[in-house]
Amino acid sequence: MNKHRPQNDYPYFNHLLRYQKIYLCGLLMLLSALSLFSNYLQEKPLLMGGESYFYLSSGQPDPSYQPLTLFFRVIPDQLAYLFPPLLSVGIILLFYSLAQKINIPEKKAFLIVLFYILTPTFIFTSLALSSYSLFLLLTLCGANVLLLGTKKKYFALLPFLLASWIDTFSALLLLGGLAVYFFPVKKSKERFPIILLVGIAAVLVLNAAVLKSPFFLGPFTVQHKTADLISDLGSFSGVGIFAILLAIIGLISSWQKKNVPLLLPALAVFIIAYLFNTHTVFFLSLLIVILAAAGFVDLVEQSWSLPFLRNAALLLLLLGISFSAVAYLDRLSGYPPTAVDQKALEWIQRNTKEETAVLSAPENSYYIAYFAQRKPVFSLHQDYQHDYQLSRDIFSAFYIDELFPLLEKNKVSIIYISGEMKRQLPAQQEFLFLLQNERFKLLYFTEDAEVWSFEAKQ
Amino acid sequence: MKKPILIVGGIFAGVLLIRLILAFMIPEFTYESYFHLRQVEHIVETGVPFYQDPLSYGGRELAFLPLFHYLAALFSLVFPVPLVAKILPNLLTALLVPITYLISKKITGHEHGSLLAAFIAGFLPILYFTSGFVVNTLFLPLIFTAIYFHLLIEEGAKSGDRNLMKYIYIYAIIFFILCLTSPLAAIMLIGLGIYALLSFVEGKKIYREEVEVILFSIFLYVWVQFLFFKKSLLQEGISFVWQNIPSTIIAQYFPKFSLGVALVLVSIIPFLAGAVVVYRSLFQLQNQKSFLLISLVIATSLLTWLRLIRFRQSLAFFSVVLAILFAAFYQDIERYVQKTKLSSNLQRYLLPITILILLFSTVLPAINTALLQDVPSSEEVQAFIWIRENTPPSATVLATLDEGHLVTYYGKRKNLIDDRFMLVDDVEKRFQSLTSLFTTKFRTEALELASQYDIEYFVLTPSAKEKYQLKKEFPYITRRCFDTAYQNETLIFKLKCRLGPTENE
Repeated sequence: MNKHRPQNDYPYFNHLLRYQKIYLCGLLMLLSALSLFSNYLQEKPLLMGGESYFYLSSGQPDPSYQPLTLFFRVIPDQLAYLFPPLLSVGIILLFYSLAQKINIPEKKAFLIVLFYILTPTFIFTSLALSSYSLFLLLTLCGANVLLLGTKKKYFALLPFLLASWIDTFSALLLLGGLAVYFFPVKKSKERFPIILLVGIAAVLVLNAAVLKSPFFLGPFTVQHKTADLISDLGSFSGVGIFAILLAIIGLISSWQKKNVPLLLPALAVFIIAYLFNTHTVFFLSLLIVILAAAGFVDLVEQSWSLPFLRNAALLLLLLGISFSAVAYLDRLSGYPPTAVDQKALEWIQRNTKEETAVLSAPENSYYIAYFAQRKPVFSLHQDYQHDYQLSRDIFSAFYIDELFPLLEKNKVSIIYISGEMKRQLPAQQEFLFLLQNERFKLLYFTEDAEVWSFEAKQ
Repeated sequence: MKKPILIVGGIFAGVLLIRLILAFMIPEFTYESYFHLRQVEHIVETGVPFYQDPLSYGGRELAFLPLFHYLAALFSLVFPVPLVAKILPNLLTALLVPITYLISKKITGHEHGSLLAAFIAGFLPILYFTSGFVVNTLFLPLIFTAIYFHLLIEEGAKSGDRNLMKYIYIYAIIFFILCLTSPLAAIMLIGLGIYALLSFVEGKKIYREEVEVILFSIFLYVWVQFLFFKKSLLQEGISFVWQNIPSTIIAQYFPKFSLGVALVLVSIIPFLAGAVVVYRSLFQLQNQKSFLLISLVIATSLLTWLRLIRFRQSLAFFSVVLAILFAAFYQDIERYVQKTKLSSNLQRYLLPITILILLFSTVLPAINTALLQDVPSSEEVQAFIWIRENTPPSATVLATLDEGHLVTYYGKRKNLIDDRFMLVDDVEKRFQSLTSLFTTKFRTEALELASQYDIEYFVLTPSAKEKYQLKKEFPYITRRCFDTAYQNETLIFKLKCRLGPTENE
């Protein structure tokens, strides 16, 4: 028996549902503003994350036809920090528009957006430039236009073609998703789907074959398979533990409702992609958020024999998700680049030659390229395995016989040691200990960051 | 059997008496107990536990669940802390007797078997560390009480019992307390998960109330652990499960399964009986009331095999489950004996024979375990008390890993290392330094390490000598650099000199 209370008994929640767009967009702007303000107070760069500086940096070794890179050749860098929160608001508004068109229930839409806002992956992409975020915006835009029907749907070509420009994986996702929508689901016999799919396929091939777009964009940080998915384990991406618990419930209830043919392939694809490249956690997180929302709705709408347990369980879940988000925001204030990083890297820019190669932790490469305008030794997004192994070989070398050949081979002349590196690397052995050798000279230090030079053999 | 409650009460009283006698026979506590004693004393003084410890590792942050300490502190408002520390753990462990009886009776409905199970639970050797003031003594009775109420919920849901809501409320409270006591409450959750899976596979109905209770339990557990261990999770990630134990000694805490050790600590009769019941139940699954217990056995085995819980802890839990399952074993034996054409005398003497066998196979090993507990000697304790009275408050003292808590508790001084490894960044390095300080022959190395950690006093107890195979004193001790500050069976050396540039003569 359905034990729902009449709607009049939940006036606040109904008010929240009715004006959810305003409240949730307000919440997003508030969270973004708090982080930006915190960065401002700490005199840190407002934009964070390696990927952001990848797009802003003109010092990249390879020409990049990434949409964001091209975009920021036109838009000044000083306005770059506004782009991520605006992109996120755009995503939410487009999602609401789409939700209305495809009849997603109000409650579910509210929860999807709420969990989206509170999920670390998306908190981060509302503060850092992200191509996948742009992909989502363009896809939602295209989907909205597509559902307008008649001739207006042809305008959907533009956002979809732009969306397929990011990387091969997202283009394939888009292609596959649209193919499934038009043929098995809608069983369309029109010309437009063919034009659209051929167009996307053509862009995909052009991007991959001619412009050498990567299969997966990124990663821009060192990967940790477990931690990158569960933000509570220390990473700056992924979802919280409670979201995963809810997603499991959502998956089970979807299984019972026989929605599995849609969900399982998507889950399999995203998990496999994540295992290859944890930067694709964006898509996996999106699916987890949707499943979590479904799970939560299911828990709310199921008639529990024990209302006390239901209320306690739902409260625990909401508290857990909120705590996770708050804890994440607290940690985010220390995320690089810091003011000290900026200061040290700008010193490098003013005081070293243009052709200098700078060695630092792989994650710092993008800050080096942007602030110091110098070539970093590592480019994780280009050849992750090679660069990751090289960084391990360099930073865990015990002897100069192991270290010097690596530095000379990679033409290292400047070394940047950030505060984070000093905390993570052992001080009494390996790389930091070897800096005592006479071929290293301390050129500059500020607070806990240092800049060293390495003298190559004559 | 007319008055089983009186018999259970008698077993409980007997077990408690024996435990208390054994506990008071040994004046000191096990090494790890001193950490908990310190926490209780701090709660009594200030109302809060020591989450920022200025003495352990020279100053560090701690992460642990405080309910056990608050419970002890509550009693310590009236009685002295050491007295509470002797009585409370033994009282809590003795409570396993009536709890085991209730669970066994619920599962089998067999009076004799349940009483025997209660008797076994009262004399499991693994639980006879009577001088241990540790969280496990509260954890075990709580988890088995939660299991009992879960069984009541299952039965209540099936029969539409009017008391079902009451059982659920009590279960919720007990589980909440359990979550605040130990992270090992995860055993219950994993057991419930396996129970749900087994039930699904066997086509056994899981009632809605059970599902709701399981869901609630999962959310509550995750939330409580997240609140208390958020920092540990962030710092250590998934390896938080292994509690940052140094890699060189992790095998001590998570050893490979040893049948011999298990037989000794669980005692042979319950081990074999339990194994038979588990084997039969797993493949026949006749007694569906044992589903939950079998699931818990599987959960514990899985976690132990994956080295996710410490061997001793899993064995303690496992042994109580085996004690409960003994009731089913005895019930089957009795039925078998009745079916056979064995003389009625044998049928009559089955119970006394069983009691006799159990007396020799459990009681004696249990008492033996209690008498052989690893505790510091009174002389060693005196040495640490001497440190408190005769050294500067800011001094750092070198002692073995086990003795680290003696340095902080009796000595009230900073230690180099102890067995609370979580949230310590350089634990591997400290452990290596500790080993070097006890084994090196080179004075320069010892002085360098001492300088690095500001160690002023070096304690060498007879236990440390035995552990590191030192004959007399540290090999690098010289009169020039060290004063013998205290000399008895335990030696305490004070460092006089530091490493520095050679002076020109």
